[in-house]
Amino acid sequence: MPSFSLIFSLIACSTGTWTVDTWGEDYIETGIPAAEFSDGCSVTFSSFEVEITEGQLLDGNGDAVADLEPARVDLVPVGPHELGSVEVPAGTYTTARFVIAPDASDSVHVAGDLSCGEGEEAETVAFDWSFSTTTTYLCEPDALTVPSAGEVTTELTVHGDHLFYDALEADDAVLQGWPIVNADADADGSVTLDELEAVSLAPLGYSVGQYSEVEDLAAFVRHLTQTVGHVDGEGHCGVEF
Amino acid sequence: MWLWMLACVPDRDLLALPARFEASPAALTLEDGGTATLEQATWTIGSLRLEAPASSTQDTGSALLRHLSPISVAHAHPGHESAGGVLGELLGEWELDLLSDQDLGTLQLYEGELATGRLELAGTLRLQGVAELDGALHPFDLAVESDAEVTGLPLEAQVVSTDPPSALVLSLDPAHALSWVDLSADSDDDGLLTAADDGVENSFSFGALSTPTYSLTLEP
Repeated sequence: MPSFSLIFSLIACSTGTWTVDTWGEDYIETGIPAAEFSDGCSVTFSSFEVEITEGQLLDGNGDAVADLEPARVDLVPVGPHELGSVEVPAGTYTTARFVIAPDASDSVHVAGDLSCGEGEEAETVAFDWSFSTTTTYLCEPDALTVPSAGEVTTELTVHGDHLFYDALEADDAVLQGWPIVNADADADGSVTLDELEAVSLAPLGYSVGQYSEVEDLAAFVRHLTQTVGHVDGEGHCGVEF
Repeated sequence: MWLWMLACVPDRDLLALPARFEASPAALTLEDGGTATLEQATWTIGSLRLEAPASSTQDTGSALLRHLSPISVAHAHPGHESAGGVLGELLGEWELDLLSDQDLGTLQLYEGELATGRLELAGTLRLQGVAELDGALHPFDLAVESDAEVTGLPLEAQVVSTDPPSALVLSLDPAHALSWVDLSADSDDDGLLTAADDGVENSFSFGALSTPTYSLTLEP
């Protein structure tokens, strides 16, 4: 009969597989429909790349028991996209940590078309924006138990609609497109980050909460790129900038 | 209900501190170099909460408190960053004359490390006065209504029951609230700048809800 300590050791040493996916959902893959915007605009993305430089599973002490390889993923092609699988000690975990940061290039790159209005007032602008923001997401999935000899999957879900919110903190934030369309100062059909930077937030009715240093539309969208990460769909993650 | 939450904070002394609003100056120096004189200034505010640093809630005990607390700090949206747990509360609603000092009652505060405060707004901010810009006078009467929360008010302090602060002071900087308003932009030429003039309501609201417009101080 094996000793109690031997049984404990066997249990403690059992492992399972932690698999991580990332997905941009329909909003990034097929677009954000006009019904989702408060001002009737709509968006399609041609590119939505995120540079995931770190992906870790943390134990109760905050120590990493698994590290994923860095990956750059374009979320427009149909997903979910697997980021990797790692053998970890079986057990229940509470925190998955992801870092989206610049590596060889930007951390977040989005391109696409934003359309607003109908009939003679209809306007479409293209956008192609790169951001070098660094964001750490500390995510707490509802159920993250790695079974012995089994597998559990965690999804880093990216919410593309956040880039069009009109508030950085308010829970009643809505999506708006017209302020970005109207930022096309040279009317060339493309809105650049420089053009967004020339637009003051204050007259727009946007709110920044405690981020009072955010005063123009480029800084606003840049900040919003640091809110796109979620876990397993709608699960919220704490963020560190 | 807050008593239930506060009762869950282990091994900490509960302090009761007087809280007051400190009058704003009537004479303002504006950020664009002009000046303004306030003749009337009122603001209705609601409850104030004081929070620990976010990092201190990462330990298991505090995280448990966060989840159990009936007034736990909500995740912001779309920014999902959380503040720390609530260590102090001043509950109520006050219609402030911003040009006068006013007692706000008693703050219930547990000892510990503080980082931020969040203030509920509960009505209308009205600033009425005259600005002087490049030698010209520009009367204004601006009002904005909000029930939003002003978050992230800096209040870094280590509160200990053996050497407690004597009071909490809340103040408001009207000049900062007016920072984004062009006080000469009387678009309807009626001789008075109001929220009905082009772009003024949004610009005034932006300043009124801006965190640096408010400040919290613990007096020794």
